[in-house]
Amino acid sequence: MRVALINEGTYPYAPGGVGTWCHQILNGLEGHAFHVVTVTGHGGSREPVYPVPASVTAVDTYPVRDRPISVSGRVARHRRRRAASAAAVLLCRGLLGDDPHSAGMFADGLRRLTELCGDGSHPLFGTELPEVLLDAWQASAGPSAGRPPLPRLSLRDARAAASLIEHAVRPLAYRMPRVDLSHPAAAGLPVLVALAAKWRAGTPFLLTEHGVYLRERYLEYGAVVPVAVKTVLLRFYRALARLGYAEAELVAAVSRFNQRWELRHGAHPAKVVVVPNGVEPLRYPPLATEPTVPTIAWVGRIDPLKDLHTLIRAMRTIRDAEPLARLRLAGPVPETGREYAASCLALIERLGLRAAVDLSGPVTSSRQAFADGHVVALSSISEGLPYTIIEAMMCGRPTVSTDVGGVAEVVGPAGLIVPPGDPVALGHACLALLGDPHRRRSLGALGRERALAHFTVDRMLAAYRQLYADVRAGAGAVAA
Amino acid sequence: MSAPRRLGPFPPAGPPPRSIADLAERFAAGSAVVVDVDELVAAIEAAGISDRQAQVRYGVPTVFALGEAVLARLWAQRHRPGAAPLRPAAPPFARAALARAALFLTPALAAVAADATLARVGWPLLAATLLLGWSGGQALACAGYARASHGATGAGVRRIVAGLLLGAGVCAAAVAFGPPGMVGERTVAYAVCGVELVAFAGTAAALVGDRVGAVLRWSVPAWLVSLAGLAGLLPARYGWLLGAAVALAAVRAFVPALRRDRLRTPARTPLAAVLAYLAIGAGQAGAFLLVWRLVPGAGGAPPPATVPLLLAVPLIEVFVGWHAAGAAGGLDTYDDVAAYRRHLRGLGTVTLAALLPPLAIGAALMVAAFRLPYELSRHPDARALVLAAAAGVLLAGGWAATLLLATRGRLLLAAFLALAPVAFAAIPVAGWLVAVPGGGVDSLIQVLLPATVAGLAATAVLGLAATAHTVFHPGSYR
Repeated sequence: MRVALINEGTYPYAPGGVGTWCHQILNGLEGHAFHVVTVTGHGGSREPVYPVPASVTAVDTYPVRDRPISVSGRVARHRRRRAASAAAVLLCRGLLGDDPHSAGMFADGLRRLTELCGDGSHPLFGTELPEVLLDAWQASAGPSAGRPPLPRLSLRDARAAASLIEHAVRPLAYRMPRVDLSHPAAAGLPVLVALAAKWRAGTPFLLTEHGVYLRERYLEYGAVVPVAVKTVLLRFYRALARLGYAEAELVAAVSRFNQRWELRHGAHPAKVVVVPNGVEPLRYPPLATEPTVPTIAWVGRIDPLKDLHTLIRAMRTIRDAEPLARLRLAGPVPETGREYAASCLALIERLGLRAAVDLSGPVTSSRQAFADGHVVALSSISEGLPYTIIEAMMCGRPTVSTDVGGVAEVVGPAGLIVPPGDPVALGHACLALLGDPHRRRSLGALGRERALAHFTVDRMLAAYRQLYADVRAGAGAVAA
Repeated sequence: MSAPRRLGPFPPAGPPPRSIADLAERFAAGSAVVVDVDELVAAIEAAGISDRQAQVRYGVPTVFALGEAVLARLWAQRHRPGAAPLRPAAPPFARAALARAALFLTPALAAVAADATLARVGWPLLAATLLLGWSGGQALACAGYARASHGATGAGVRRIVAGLLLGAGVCAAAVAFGPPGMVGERTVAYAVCGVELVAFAGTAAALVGDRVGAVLRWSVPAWLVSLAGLAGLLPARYGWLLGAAVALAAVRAFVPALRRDRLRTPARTPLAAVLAYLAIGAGQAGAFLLVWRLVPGAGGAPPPATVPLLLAVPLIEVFVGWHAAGAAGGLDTYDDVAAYRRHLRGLGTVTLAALLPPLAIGAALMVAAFRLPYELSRHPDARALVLAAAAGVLLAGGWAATLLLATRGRLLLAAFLALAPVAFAAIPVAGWLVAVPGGGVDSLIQVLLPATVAGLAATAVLGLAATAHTVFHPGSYR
C-alpha cells in the first residue's frame, strides 16, 4: 500500500514525540511504501535527525513561507483573482461562524481554492484578503444567540491575520503523487494536504493527533497576539480541525483525553479510535542501578509547553529539603525554543541553582538520561501521550508527572501525578520518591509491567496496520 | 532580556479557586481576553483542573461545562470582550524624528567646525570619501536593518563595521597612492577620511542598533568641541580633539556589534533595496557636493547652500515621521477600508501641500537672483549667493520627497529622484565642454550655477509628481 505520511516540520528534521512516532511507523509497517510530506516554514536544506528507511520513496518538504508560484498572463490573473476572491469570501464567512452552515461555507471555500491552485500556485493569489476578512467580520460582528459580539478588528489586525491565513492555506497547493491513502499527523496544516488530495484524487485519509492541535493553538496564542488577530486565527484552526475530523475516514487519538476534544469538535464517535504510542522494550531494558547523588531526570524538547520554569522552581523546594539533590535536563533546544531556554537559564541563576541544574543538551538515548536519575519528572502543561514517560516506565524508573493530556492514562497507578504549574506539589512528590528507595523500586517495577502490557510499539503498529486496511476498505466501499 | 512568553490566556496562579465565581474572578484579573469557551477550557486544563476536579470541586460534569459556566460570568462582566478604544492615540513620532535629525547633524556640525582642518586635505579626496561614506552608510544601514529585524541586531551592526573596514581600506589606499594635489597633507588626510567614514558608519550603526538616544548622549563632547571651536574658544589646531569626539560617539554606536544574538531567524539580504539605497546615498552626496562646491563659503563660513539644508534636516525628519505615523495610525484607527482610504487621501493632500513651499521659495529665489535691486546687483557675489540659497532650499525639498518615497517603499523612484540633480547638472557641463573647450572654471560656474538650480527645480517638480502618485495610491501603504 502506498501511504503519504504528512507532518508539520517534525520528521525527519526535528527530534520529539511526533518524529519518533513517524520513525516507528515508517520502519515498522512492512509492505507499505511511504511518501513523506513535511510542511515547514521556510525552504532550504536541513539535516535529517532520523535515518530515513528504504520504505520511504521520497521526503518532500513543502515550505509555506517561501515565495509562491505566481499565475502568468493578464487574463488568467484577472480570472484567477475573481475566482479566488469568491472562494475567500466563503472561507472568511465560514470560519467566523459556529454552525453547520458556516462549516459548509468554510469547506466550500477551501474546496474552491484547492481547484484553483492545482497548478501549484498560491491558493489566494491576487485576493485582497484583509478587505474580504473585514467585510466578513462586519457581517458577523453583531450579537447572536447567547454569544457576545466579536471584538473590534482594525485594518492592521485584518492585515496581520490575513497574512497568516495566506501562508496557512498554502499546503492546499501541494501536488501529491498518486497514493492509496494519506495520513496527516496533526489536525492543522497537514490536514490541508490531505484534504486537497482527497478532493482532487479521492484519496482517503486517516488523521492522527498527538497533542490536540487546536488546544495547543489556544495555549500558544493566549496573550501574545492582539485579541482580534487571535480570534481570526483560532476560528480558522477550529474550522480546519472540524473539517479534518469530518472528512477523515478515521481519526486515531493517542489518548482518551484527545478523544474528548475531537468528539467535542464534531468527530463522529464511531470514527475515533484510541491508539496509544508505544516503545520497543528491547531498546529500554530495566535499569539495575541508581546514581549516588539524588537526581531528578528530565528528557524532552526545551519548549514553553514543557513548563520547565515549574520544574526549576520545584527544584528550589527539593534543594531546601535535600541540599545535594540535582536536576538533569536532557534535550535539544529547537530554533523556536531559544528564547525560552534563555529564560530558563535566567531563572536558574535567579534561584541560585546553577550548581544544582545541568542542561546537558540532546542525548542519543533517553535511557542514558534516565540512568543518571533516581526519578523521572515531567512538568508539561500540554501533552499528547508522552514517549518520555513510557520510556521511563519501560526502564523501570519511577515517574512524577503533571496531570495533562494522556499522562494520567499512561501512568495509572505506576507513578505520581501532580497538578500542572504547581512547583510545590511537584517538588514534594519528587522528594517523596527520592527519600523512599522501596517505593521507587515498586513503582518502577509496576511501571515496566504496565508499559509492557499496554505501550509497546508492536501493539501500536498492529493497530495502524489494521486502520490502514480499514481506511482503504472504507473508501473502496464508498466509491463502489 | 525580554520576558519569557506566557502560555495560555492566563493560567490561574495561587491556591486552587473554590468556586466557579472564584475561578472567573481569577481569569478576569488576567490581561488577555478569552475569545471562546475552548480557549478557556485549554487554560483550565493547563492549570491542572481535570474532569474529575470539575465534578468534585465545582459540581459540573466536565471541564467543558466548567468553561461554559466561567465564560458566561466573564462575558456578563465584560459587556464586549476585547473592545479596544475606537480612536487609539496616534503613535508619537516627533521625539524620535528630532533625535534622528540631531544624530545626522552631529557630523555636519563637526564638519563645519573643522573647516580649517578640512582645508588641508585635497577636495577631490574629501568629495570621494563623502560619496563613499554617504552611499555606503545608507546601503549598509539597509543591509543591517534586514538582519536586525530578524532578531540579529549584533550581526546587523557587524555588517556595518565590516563595510567600514572595507571603505577605510579603500580610502587609505587612495591617500597613500593618490597624487599630492588631490590628497593634500597625507597625515591629516588619513585622519580626516577615517573620521569621516567612522561618522557615517556610526550613524548607520546607531539606527540599526536602535541606540540613537545613547549615541546622542555620547555625542555631547562632539557638539561642545564643535561649538567651542566655532566660537573661537579653542586653540587653532583643535581638529584632532574634534575627530576624537566624533569617533567616541561612533564607538558607542558600534557596541551592539559585540552582542551575541540570542534569537535569530534566517534572513536574506534584500539586495535590490541595498542597491537602491546605495544609489540614493550616492545621489544625495553628489547633489550636496554640487551645491557645496559651486559657491564655497567665504572666510571660514559654511557654503551658503548648505545653510538651508542643515536647517531643513529636522524639518524633513519631522515631516516624514508625521506622514509615516499618520499612515500607521490609520491602520489602528479604522476598521473600514473606505474610511481608511478617505484618511489616506487627506493625509496625501497635506503631505503634498507640505512639499510645495520649498519649491515655491526656491523658484522665487531663482527668479529674484536675476531681478535683484540695483544696490544689491552691484555686489559681485550677490546673484551667486541668492542662487546658492535657492539651490539649498530646492535640494531640501528634493530630499524630503526622496525620503518620503523611500519610506513608502518606492525605492527605485527615490533613487531616480536622488540622482536627478546630478544628472541635470551633467547636461550643462557637457554642453560647456563642447561649446567652450578651453574655457576657465569661472565661466563654467557662471553656466553651471543657474543650470544646477534649474535642475534642482525640475527635480523638485518631479519629486512632487512622484510623491502625488505615491501618496494617493493605496498600494503604497501595504
